[in-house]
Amino acid sequence: MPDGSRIRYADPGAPYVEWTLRYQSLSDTEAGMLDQFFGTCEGRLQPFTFADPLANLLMWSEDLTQPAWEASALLQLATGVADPNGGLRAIQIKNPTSADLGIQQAVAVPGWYWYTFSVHLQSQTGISLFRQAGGLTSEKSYCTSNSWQRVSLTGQSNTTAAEVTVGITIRAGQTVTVYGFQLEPQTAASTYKPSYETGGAYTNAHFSNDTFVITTTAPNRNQCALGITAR
Amino acid sequence: MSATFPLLKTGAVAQYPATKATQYASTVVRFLDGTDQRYRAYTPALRRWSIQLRLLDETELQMLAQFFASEQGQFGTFSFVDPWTQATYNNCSFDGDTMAYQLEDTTRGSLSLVIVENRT
Repeated sequence: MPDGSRIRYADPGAPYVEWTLRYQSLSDTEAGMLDQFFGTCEGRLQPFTFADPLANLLMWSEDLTQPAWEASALLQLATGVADPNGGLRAIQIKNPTSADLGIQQAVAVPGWYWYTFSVHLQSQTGISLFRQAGGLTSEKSYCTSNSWQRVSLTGQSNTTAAEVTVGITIRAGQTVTVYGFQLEPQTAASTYKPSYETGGAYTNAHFSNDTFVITTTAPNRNQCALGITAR
Repeated sequence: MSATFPLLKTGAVAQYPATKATQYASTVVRFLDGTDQRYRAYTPALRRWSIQLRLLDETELQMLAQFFASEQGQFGTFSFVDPWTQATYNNCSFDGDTMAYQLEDTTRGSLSLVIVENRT
């Protein structure tokens, strides 16, 4: 304004996320695959699913009471428990029944990617991490101690399913304390990133422009860059 | 019948590095609530090739210069074989009216060309 003051309005429809992916030393096959996919999407026109490689794909990574999580009603959750970072954001889960019970979350991402599912765990008893996609299940059991330990499950499923479900199984009569669930499209767990109402899976992503440029620098060596936007 | 883009002595049409672009044309109308509507302006995609040639001898340089002159820069149309796919695109033009080349020695000529596919 002329007097130097400013009037500001929030625009709830404005936020979006943009990525620039730069690829180098791609083989002809890999470059061709990207070229073909860009053609299938016709540049900016058609949407596709994009799993943010830098994000936690799960929603509400620290709030298991949210609808994104599917938990047995018989599990007893206690929040506000001391976490390994000195906060009070861990959750104690008690299974008072005589059967194993699970808590899980389904994410709309390609089932054939490599994923690492990780969580910080404090438990004197065993616990299992699992990943399901297209009817295939991978599971890994851990026995930890009273101290915090980050456990993970890494793998890939031979499936064309467009959804991956990850979760933990708590043994009958056991109690565990968990903190920081994370699912990422990588072959190892990275630094934990808390997530809230949106995870890193975007089912309505678009390329940010209509031109795909690929440079071939030597036989079977290509480089290109792709811009992607999603909201 | 349109002319065909000349080959180098090696039989190649391009050298490394070479760049290819695929161009679609979509229009995105973004609404106040953040949603959008998209539609295509034309299909299929148009292609564009950036070719950098080095270590050319005088004969090759002369051949390319003559071809550029015969096309009158971006005015003429010619056939171009995509060096990646070997597909022939029959309606192509140079992207500009200027062709500059350097000749450092009898076998050390270099130039850059941009070729675009035209819509018929």
